[in-house]
Amino acid sequence: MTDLRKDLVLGLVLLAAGAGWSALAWATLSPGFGGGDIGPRAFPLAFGVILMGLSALFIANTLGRDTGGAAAKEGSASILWGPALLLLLEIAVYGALLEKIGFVLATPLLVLAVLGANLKIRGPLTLAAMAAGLTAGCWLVFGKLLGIYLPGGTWVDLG
Amino acid sequence: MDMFLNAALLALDPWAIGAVGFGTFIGLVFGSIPGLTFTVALALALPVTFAMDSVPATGLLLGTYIGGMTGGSVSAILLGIPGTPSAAATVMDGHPMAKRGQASIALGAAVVASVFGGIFSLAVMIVSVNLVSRLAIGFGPAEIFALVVFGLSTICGLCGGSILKGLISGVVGLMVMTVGMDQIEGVPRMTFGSIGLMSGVSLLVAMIGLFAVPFIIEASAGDGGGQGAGRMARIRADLPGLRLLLSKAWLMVRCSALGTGIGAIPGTGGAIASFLAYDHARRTSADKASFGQGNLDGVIAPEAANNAVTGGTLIPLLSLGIPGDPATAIVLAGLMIHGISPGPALFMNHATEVYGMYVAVVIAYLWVLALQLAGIRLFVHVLKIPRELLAAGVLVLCLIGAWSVRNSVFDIYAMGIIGVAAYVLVALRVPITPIILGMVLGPTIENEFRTALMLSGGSADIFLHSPIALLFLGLAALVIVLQAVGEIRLRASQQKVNA
Amino acid sequence: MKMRLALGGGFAVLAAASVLSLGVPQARAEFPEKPVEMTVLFGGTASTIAQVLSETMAGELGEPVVPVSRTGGGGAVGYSHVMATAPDGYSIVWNSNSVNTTAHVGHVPYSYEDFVPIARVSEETPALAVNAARGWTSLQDMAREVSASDDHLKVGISGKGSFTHLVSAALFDAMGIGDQVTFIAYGDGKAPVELLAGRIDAAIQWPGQFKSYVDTGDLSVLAVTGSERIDFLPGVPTAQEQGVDIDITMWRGLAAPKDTPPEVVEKLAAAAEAATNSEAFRKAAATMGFQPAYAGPQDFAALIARDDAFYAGLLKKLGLGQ
Repeated sequence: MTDLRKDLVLGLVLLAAGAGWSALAWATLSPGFGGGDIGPRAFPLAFGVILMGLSALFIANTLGRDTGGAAAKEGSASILWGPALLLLLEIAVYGALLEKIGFVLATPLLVLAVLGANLKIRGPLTLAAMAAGLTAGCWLVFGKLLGIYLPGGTWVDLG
Repeated sequence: MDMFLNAALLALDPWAIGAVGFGTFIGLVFGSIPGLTFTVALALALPVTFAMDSVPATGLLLGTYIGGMTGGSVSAILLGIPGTPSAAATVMDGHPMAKRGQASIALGAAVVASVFGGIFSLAVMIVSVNLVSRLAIGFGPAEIFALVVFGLSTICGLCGGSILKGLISGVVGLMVMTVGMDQIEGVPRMTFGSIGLMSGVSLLVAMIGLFAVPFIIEASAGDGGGQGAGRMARIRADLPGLRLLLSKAWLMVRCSALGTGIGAIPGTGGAIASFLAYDHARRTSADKASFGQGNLDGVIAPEAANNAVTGGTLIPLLSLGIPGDPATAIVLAGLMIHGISPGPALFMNHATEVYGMYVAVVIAYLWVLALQLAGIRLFVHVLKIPRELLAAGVLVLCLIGAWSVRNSVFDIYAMGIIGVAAYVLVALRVPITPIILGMVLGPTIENEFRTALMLSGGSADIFLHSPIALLFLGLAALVIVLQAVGEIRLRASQQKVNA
Repeated sequence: MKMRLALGGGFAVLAAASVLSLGVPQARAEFPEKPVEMTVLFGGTASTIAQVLSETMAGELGEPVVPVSRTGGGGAVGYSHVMATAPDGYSIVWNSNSVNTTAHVGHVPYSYEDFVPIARVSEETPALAVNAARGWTSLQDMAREVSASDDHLKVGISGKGSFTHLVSAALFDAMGIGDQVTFIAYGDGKAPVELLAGRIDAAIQWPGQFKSYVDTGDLSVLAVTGSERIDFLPGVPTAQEQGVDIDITMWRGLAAPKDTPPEVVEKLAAAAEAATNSEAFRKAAATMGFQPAYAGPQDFAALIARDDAFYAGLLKKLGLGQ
């Protein structure tokens, strides 16, 4: 996809998001009562409309750039959808596990998954050392030394 | 004078100096680590002070606050991930400097600017606490609204390449902060009935997602060959020279004055001050084009300003009993539990404690100077850690940080979602710093505007009849016009080149 | 492949650990045998009192009591969390009237009946302050002058439906000037400064926020809204003393999820009682401006039920209830 196409898609997605947001604000929030009370709806609605306006401008601008033809200066990086969505999945699973099996068990699993699947670290020693080291280090420094509350699990609780 | 000597004796007691040093160290640690901030550090430090005498206790809290404010620049410069929202502006030039191999110069300058800003604001406070607090009382909802609009106008300076993309990202930030409980009306907004969303998106969690998650995803594009972070130039640990720093003295003075003023107005805070200072430095610089590429002024200005905020916020905190943010609210609780009830009578009833606090602030900055300058030589070695391993470590720290904000899994999900969205935006060359600015200013801008209109019964006169509000609205308009004119000139000159 | 092995290893450890924890028969040891987690719903004063309380309670119970801040949504986040935890006494909530008020404003999937009351621990009495320059010295002064004019009184509150809003509405109704009040909602507790600057005419807040201003003579506190005067502002009469019939205070206490065993509740209540009477807690009360006010599980339950009916009526009258 060229930068131009990408910008066009970005503009359209933002326009749709602005429209959806504004519609939701209009439908679910109450207007003010007058007399100085502008109510909880005014600002979210205004922001949504502004986003729609800016996105429309942006789309127009992008289309204009097309005919101008002198745009392709700044090459944008290609989006790594795979690693991005994988990381999101890993964070989601971590969140789900955190209060079930506790920080001490969930964290090494996350570190192994992220290092192995996202960051392509293959050395078993590095993997094991990182998983154990990060977990133990954080648990000791943050949980014990600095007194941050780290969750224990409801299924398994190792502290 | 007797009272001052008495206070100085109390504050210079080895125990008290140790307590301040301990607080400063904890604050620096929390501030330096992406995801953990001084707000969490203060909440954890508070119970420790219950059993202490009032002077060491307040010293410990102030040290934690000051250390935390200063520490935020470390990961902002080294990793491009601000340690606190107040350090978000420091990323823009601090991180490019680190990529050029000048990390230690940026860190050193940040420390010196921070200490300068902090001491400057303390001096202002000692000399003119009454005057400043009287001025601060003049800032009602209409005036604060106008000031925040002025802050928002600096968005143009944060946009990088495309003004439109920058504005879009600012609006997205404003929108995100409307999710959750509406503070004025007490109704949930845009929550789809979810309890998690009712608590809203925490600024801190969003900030971790915005800066740290793209860092981690980008690390996975590497080949696993174990290079240092970001393929940096050779890592050195030179500190900035005295002459270089002296040449920036006037900039530090201006930004410290700005930070002290912003800090004195309740409801503003470090992040607004640092963005305004950054914009000021860029606007007054002879070399505007190098901002965002690693200009040292872009590090010094926000760091001087955000530490000047510490002295500034102490003014309304002590003289009016009004905390400017959740962090100073904890300091306030710490004072009250020791029987020091802040407010206009504080200086009558507790002069010794107040002088003790002044001395403690100075000691805290001496600790900051010593600890940070010694630490820089260690910090820069972070850059030698292979990028992949560093990314995994940053991820764990950020998850702990996101969790610790409200001890809730919701914030972990929020961090992930915001982070991946931010990554996509970064890849599409949409600047994300304006999102932070929008998030910082969003709630204030809306609440103050609505409160102002309630006060006036719906009439716009409340903005038009206030000289202070008019001044800031005028400044905001001026900034926008200047920006637009500059933009048109730039376009024109580009077209000439193309033709 | 190596990664799969590593992950497999992780799961093996996990499995072994869960077998360990499930396999050992649960010895019916005395409660508590591990730390008790106390969910705190708000920052500021609420969280500071919780920290003082938890330290003294831990001494009584012999196990740590860990205050865990779960703020947001006007308490909804924390209440929902505790409601969903196991009713074993290891997860309790540092609650307040907010359980009554938020439930009736709607938007939350719980009510006070989803929790077992453990003990009321403290009370905070709201106080009404006005700018001293107005010259009012009593509620009558204020009511007389306001009703003689056509003006609307600007009253600062923390937000619609907030506790300060409810108390203000009830007080001004009882004074007979309820129709001449415009509520100005601030997102936060800036009332003293706004009063000082003269942007609002009156505000109800916590005594600790007004103390220093009263000492300097900038603000006058006309009344406290409880049935008794408070030690923190001994010179300030109650509203009842001035012929205005109102008795509203905010309590804070402890509650556990529904179905927590009574013997566990008793044990926690005993620890809370001892903590409430402790030196440290009383000292904190004196400096921060709240009153230690222990009430046992039964009394506390009756109080919550009575309050619930009261706030339901008040919110409905204000057009905020469901």
